[in-house]
Amino acid sequence: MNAPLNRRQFLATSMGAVSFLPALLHSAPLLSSSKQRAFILVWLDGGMSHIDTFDGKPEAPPNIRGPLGSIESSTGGVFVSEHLPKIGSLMNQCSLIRSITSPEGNHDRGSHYMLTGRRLTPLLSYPSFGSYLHLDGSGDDRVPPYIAIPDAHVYARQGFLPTSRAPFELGSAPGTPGFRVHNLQPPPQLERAMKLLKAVDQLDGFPRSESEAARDAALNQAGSLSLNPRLRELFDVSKEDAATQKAYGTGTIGPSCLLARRLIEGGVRTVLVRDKGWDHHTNIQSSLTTGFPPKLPALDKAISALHTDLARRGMLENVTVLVASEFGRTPRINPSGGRDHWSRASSALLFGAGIQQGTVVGTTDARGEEPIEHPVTPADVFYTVLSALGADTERTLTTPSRRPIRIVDEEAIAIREILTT
Amino acid sequence: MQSKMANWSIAGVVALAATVPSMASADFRYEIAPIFARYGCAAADCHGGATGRGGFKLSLFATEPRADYEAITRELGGRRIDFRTPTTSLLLRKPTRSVKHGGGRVFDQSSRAYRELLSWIESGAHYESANDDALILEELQITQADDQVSVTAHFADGTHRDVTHLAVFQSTAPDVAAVDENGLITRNGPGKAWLLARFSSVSARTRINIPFPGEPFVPAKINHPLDQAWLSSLQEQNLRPSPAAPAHVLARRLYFDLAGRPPRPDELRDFALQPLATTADQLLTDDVFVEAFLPYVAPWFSQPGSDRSSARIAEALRENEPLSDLVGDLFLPGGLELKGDPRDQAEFVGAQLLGISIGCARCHNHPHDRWTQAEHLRFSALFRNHREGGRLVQDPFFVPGEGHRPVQPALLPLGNLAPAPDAAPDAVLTSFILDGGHDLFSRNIANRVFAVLLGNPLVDSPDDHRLSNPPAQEAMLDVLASQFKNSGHDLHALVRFIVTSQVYAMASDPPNDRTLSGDPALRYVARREARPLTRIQFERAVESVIGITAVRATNNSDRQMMMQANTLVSAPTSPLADQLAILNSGLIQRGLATKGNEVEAIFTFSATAEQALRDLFILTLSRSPRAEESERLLPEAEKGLSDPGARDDLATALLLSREFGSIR
Repeated sequence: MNAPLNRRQFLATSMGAVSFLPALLHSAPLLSSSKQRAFILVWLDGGMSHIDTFDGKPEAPPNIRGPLGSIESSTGGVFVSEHLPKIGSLMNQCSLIRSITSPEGNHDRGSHYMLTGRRLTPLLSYPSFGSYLHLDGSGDDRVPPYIAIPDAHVYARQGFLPTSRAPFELGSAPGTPGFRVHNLQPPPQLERAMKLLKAVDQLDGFPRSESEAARDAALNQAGSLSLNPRLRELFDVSKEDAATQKAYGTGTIGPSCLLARRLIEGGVRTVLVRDKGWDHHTNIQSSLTTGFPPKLPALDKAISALHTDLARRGMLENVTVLVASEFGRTPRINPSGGRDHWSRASSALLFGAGIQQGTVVGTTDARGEEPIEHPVTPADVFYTVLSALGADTERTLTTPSRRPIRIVDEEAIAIREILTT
Repeated sequence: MQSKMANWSIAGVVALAATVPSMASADFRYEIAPIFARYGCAAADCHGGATGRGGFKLSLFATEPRADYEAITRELGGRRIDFRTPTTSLLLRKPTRSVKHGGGRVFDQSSRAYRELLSWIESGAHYESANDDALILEELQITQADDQVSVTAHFADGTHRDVTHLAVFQSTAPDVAAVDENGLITRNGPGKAWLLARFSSVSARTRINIPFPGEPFVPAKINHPLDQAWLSSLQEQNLRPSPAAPAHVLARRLYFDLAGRPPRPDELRDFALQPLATTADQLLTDDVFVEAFLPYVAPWFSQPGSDRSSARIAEALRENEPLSDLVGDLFLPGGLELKGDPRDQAEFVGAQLLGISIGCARCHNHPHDRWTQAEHLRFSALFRNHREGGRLVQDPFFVPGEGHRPVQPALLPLGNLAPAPDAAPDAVLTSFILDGGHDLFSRNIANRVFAVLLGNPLVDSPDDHRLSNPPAQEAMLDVLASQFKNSGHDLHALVRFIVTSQVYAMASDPPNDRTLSGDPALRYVARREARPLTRIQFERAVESVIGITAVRATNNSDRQMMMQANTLVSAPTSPLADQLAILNSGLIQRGLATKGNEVEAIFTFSATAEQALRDLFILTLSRSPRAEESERLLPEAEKGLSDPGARDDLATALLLSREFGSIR
């Protein structure tokens, strides 16, 4: 573990430990004063078909282009699915990467590569975006810096960093019936007991070790989150007006993106929205366009509403959004009407802070099989996103066995074209 | 001092394009390649990186001199070497920055490195020196005189030479003693440091002890062998150990460690009246020990995700089978059985059973670690279908490409006793792990058990015993390992050995309120650290204290236990989620609402608030309240006598307290 980090964390936690009551009285700031920006990662778990979303091939033969049509987006030459019209019309305010290529066509290995910017090794697991960002504190101890809705992919965690950097997982997603954050609602007696607890712990004196201090800090944070109605409300999307809720759509991905925006406003620095069910080995047409709700229309509503909402609130200056997946899917439709894993080409959409508008990086060949221009790796994307967020991309971390590891892979190259600085 | 056979193949003489004068020449392997390691040219962030730098790639840490030789003499049409005007060779102009060099100036023309490179080129840039084509590095010797470290290389032909100017130095604790590139030592502060030297692919180390200032520490005579090693190490460092913890703290520690819960009031009384060893033996032979220890032991003998092994391991703990039996089981069909990529299996055996991380060598040779890529690959090859036909598999494993020979399986070179030629591979691996002429298995398990009981291992991290990662107190690990080995790998005996020592009994309180980290006492095992309960430990403790076992749905099926095992050791959750569960899952409230619970009993049968408060403290914290606690909490206890709500609030506060939530 990194000694300076520890010390800083220790200071942060021990200061937080002194009392949580004053914190209850403050109101939440709109955005933290940190130089680093906030981040929303919409993770399409299972492998989003690039051809059926952001890399349409209307000229390709039917067994490649698939049963779904494409439309030209507001960025000329970019064809998106006919089921993504809203994203298509916002494309000139986003950056699109169509040339991500990787050798990792297995879910675990592909996800690890995209989520940590590193190939998976059995020796060491690497920290993902949200665990690394704001490593030195987000300036707001009341809310966790990194939240996952409903949960985090196993490789979207802290890796070799301390468990205090783990994502806080809600346990379920808004939009599911009876949604509530796991263990957030306190039993009625808790408030009285917590006052007594404070007295008992004060009589005990100071924490005896760093891990006791860290436990104190987590307990205080848990106490303030559960007992402060204002903080609990951060998780309640029904507090949003009806029009906003409607714009994000039904299902879980829309309300999750809305919750992500609320949480970022409340001081959370990274929100991972994990939308499962993109592993379409069979009947890709019906999986993407029918269902409850259908994948593509739900994605279209959620992402376009998020963009519009962030823009309206002036938050695009401070929040970066990445829509990505572990890999693309085979250009050729398989006999079951589905597409299989394809890591040689995939796409990712970015917008917001630090990201150029209307930039397209890379092109795949006529069949969408591999990049013919500007191929980039998942490590390059990781590097680029950290750069857009204003994070320290040069930092070397120390593993528990004291090996120095740079947060960004040595071989990675930032995709300058889509960065504003 | 550590030695190792260098094992490069000796290739034929390489013909060079230019004709060169024939004269005594330096040996590339031992005189030239080490320069690239020494000056950082072959480091990972320079030419040693996976793709080199600026079109010039060296092997990482220059451990593959043959490839480096080819890169230097053959690539770019040989332009790196200029025989006509040797001083204009790129190999000299780059590091002296006579031409643009991304790495800046590395040495100048007056340096010894420059003169040696120049003279090597002038004499023909040969791979081997004129008469030394069988020169094999056998051993590295490191010596310390005053403030200078010297390194001598011993070769197979009996010759030796001083290679101090070519060695790469490193200190395990620069804050204690730093070593510069010339081997000059700077003493920075009290403590212990190991200075390492690497030359070619061999490392050696030497120790520096700078005693702490103050009155000499003279320990009292003591019989326990672990304490003898501990106290003599601390005496050498002049470091005073923490005093023994109070009895109630020790009792809680022992019960949490061996039973997974705090002691009940009656057990607390027994603990005070009988020797600690008696209590330890009672707990060790109880099923609670299996439940408490399985989460730690299971991952040592089962690959991640193989949940069916936990029943077998639980059985071994219950019967106190020698842990060496579980090693044999790993290689038996239907036993614990390793599976998956042979390299994963090999690395699992290395890390969990031997405590060595050979995995780094999957991709590159490690500085200051001895494992090479070739050794890693040959050892991995042993795990490929190793049961087939009951013989060592001779099939091709990785065929690196056309014209290359397949990898031949081989044991790691650990001073192995040669296996019987016809032995089944199961037996070969088992005997290699348990008694292959080394005691890595015993050292590894002893270190892990010590970590369970003391909160911190002696070798941190436990998967990575190596020269550059020494134990906090090496004499202690020696004692533990030999005790474990001599007992026939008896886990109960090892646990009893540790918990009956003074090391185990010492207090965790920092010397002042704020010394939480950076305390040298922690670094050298002169104090132990308080550690918070895991969520599972906390839940068990609450159930046990309230006296209600049905509060949490328990099902001790193997699967459940393995899930707990995984949660306990590497919880895939966050501290915040754990604390929210502790506060809000309702576990405490449901327990306190259950008729006939222990808290209710105390308040029902106590005549006075003093007695109720005292009994509640003993129930929850294993001690009586201190004066200031009585003063603050007596009014609450008073209310509790008539108001169950107030009673439960007080109990809840004590159960949520920092003291209850920690093993101190």
